[in-house]
Amino acid sequence: MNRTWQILKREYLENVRTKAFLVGLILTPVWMGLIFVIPLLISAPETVRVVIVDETGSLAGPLREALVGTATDEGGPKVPTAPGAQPLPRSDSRFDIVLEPAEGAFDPGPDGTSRIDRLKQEAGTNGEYVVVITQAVLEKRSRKPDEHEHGIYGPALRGMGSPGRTIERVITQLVTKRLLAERKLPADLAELIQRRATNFHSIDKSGGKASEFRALMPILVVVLLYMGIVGISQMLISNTIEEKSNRVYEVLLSSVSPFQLMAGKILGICGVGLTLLTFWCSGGLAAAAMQGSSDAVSLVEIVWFAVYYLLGFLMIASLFVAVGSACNTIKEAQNLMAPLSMLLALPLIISMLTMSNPNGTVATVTSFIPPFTPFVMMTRMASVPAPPVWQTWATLAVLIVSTYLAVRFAARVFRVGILLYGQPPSLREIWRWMWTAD
Amino acid sequence: MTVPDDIPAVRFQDVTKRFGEFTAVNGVSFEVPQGSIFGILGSNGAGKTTSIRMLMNIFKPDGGRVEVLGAHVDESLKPRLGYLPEERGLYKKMRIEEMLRFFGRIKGRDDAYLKPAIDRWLEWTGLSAWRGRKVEALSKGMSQKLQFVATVVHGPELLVLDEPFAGLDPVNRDVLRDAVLTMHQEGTTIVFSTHVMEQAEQLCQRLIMLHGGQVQASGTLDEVRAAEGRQAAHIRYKLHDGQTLDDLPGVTHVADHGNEAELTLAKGADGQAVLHALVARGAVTRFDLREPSLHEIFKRVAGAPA
Repeated sequence: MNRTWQILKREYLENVRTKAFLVGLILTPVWMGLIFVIPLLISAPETVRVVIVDETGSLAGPLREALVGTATDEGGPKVPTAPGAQPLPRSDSRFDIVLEPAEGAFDPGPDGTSRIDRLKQEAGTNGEYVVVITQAVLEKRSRKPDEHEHGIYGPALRGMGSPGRTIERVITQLVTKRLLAERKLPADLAELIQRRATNFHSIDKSGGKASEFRALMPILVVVLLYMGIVGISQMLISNTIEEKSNRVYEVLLSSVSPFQLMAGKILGICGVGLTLLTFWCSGGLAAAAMQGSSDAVSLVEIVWFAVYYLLGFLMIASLFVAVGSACNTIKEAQNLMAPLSMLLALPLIISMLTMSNPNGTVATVTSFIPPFTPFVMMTRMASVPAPPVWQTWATLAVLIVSTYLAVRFAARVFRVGILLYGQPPSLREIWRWMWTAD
Repeated sequence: MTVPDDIPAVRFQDVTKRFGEFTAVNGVSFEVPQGSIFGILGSNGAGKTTSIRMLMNIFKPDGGRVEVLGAHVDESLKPRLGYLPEERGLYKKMRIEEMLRFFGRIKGRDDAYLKPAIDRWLEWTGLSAWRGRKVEALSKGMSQKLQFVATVVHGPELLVLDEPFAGLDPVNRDVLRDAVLTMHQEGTTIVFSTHVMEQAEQLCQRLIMLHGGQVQASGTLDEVRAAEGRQAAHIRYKLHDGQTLDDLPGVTHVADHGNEAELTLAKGADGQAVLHALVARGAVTRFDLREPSLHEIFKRVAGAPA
């Protein structure tokens, strides 16, 4: 035990003292943060140029007024407050409106292109929007064959939203209001039709109202678990190969058994991952608490996270150590890793799939497939509804047994592999080692 | 824990190790007396490393029994052994002192024991000033010395060295030999393997010679030579024109180097008769009749079908 502890301690310290560890510790959350922050920076109100060509001559003016009122910067939207007025959709963009005369805009020029065509081309180049309004728009119908084509043309997305959709909704509201007035109907009818009668609230497992942070939990836990297990345990491949090519293993075998050596290495790296996760998670929870999301995780979930992390790590790290010990160079390992990495991408994908239906067939079945168990079960634990209790314990039993087998088989491959140089063994040979008793 | 003096430090009883179809060690038996320097001799593939790995409990024998320090070999013995494998390595990223402490600790030694031991050994290697440096900063010769220190820093009762002199320059070879002899004087039993017979001749008191996984010769140096039962003549000569060293009476093999030659004599052959025959063919400036060297015995053994 003491010998395993010494190996573990050395492995842990050697990896924790590297610059790479510090960089990972600090930069990973920074990087994750950037993923969330950068879009917010990008979404800072941006001026979007809108060229309006209005054949009818009656909509461009009100449209300009309404669009300018949708910008959300400085004190929120300038929504018309007249009684019965419908609220305008909010937009992250500030609109710079240009009214283009409709006269002759559709007539083809000497080169066969019309002014509208050229405006669209410019929009494609500069990211502007071109709004073409015809009589058909005012009547909410598609055009007659003899009419010009109407529509809003521009890029699908700008900033966080879609200015094109905003313009579309604003025009729809303006036209609706006008049509209601023409029919002598109350102006607030449109708003009445659109107004929500009640609101949806997402809840947590205890029935409390779930915070926004909480709703992200199923994704967050599985990403963290994945980084902690697959990301960290991959270190063991290169690390095992490096020490094998340093020829340090046989020296160590004069003091420890192959199993002690392997166990010490795996647990040492496991500790590295645990340090990272603890640092990241406590930071994340502290941030969530400061934002008032005190419901971010329960103690039970933390315990399960630790259980799934440890078992999942042992299982997958054993696999990596076995691969590393059987290879002499990183290049050889990469050949063996190619099919493995595809397999290891699956748990992440499957967990994402199960999020919308945490107790569905896919979720239930994959919960019982060992390499997927920790990831899928953790997603389900963080989701609503919670998985049935029997599945929680049954999958845990499957996980424990398969982890035990993975460690045992890995130990047999490791024992032979670390002393074997020269040509890398074939998969068949590795298979044979796995079944050779001590 | 001390072992009674009459118990051998190592005892192999009819030990066999197979790898698939290949038998690497085949019915090997020998004993290493406590406090002796014992050589395991043989060419590449003779079964030396496999035997040593079984001694170190790295391989398990398929047949026979391996006893070390009076007990059936197992993991619990490892702290009392020191092992320098043929393929050696260190943790390059670790600092020298820290690494030696690590190697001592996995042998179960505490810091109270290790601190003075590390100081002493670092002084011996001349690495005291480097103790805080990383292993990768050392020259090749220095790291070879450090490797030896890592093997012995915990004070083993039995020191096992697999091809310890391979790859060493002459200066380091002497340094290592002196260290081995010092440990021997302090009572450590030493087992080492080599394919360089001159080293074995200089160092070991007892030896076995392996070929094809089997023991071809064993005993003290004198016993091995006597068992060979034949002599060799080392000569320096200049032959008359037209004369050769062919068909000398009682000579079974000639290793001719031009001005000098080694003549292997048949069992019971008369050295004087050979000298007479030589003088008849030319001038003999040296004629040295002696027991065969280990090298000659080894060549005969290795040349013989296993």
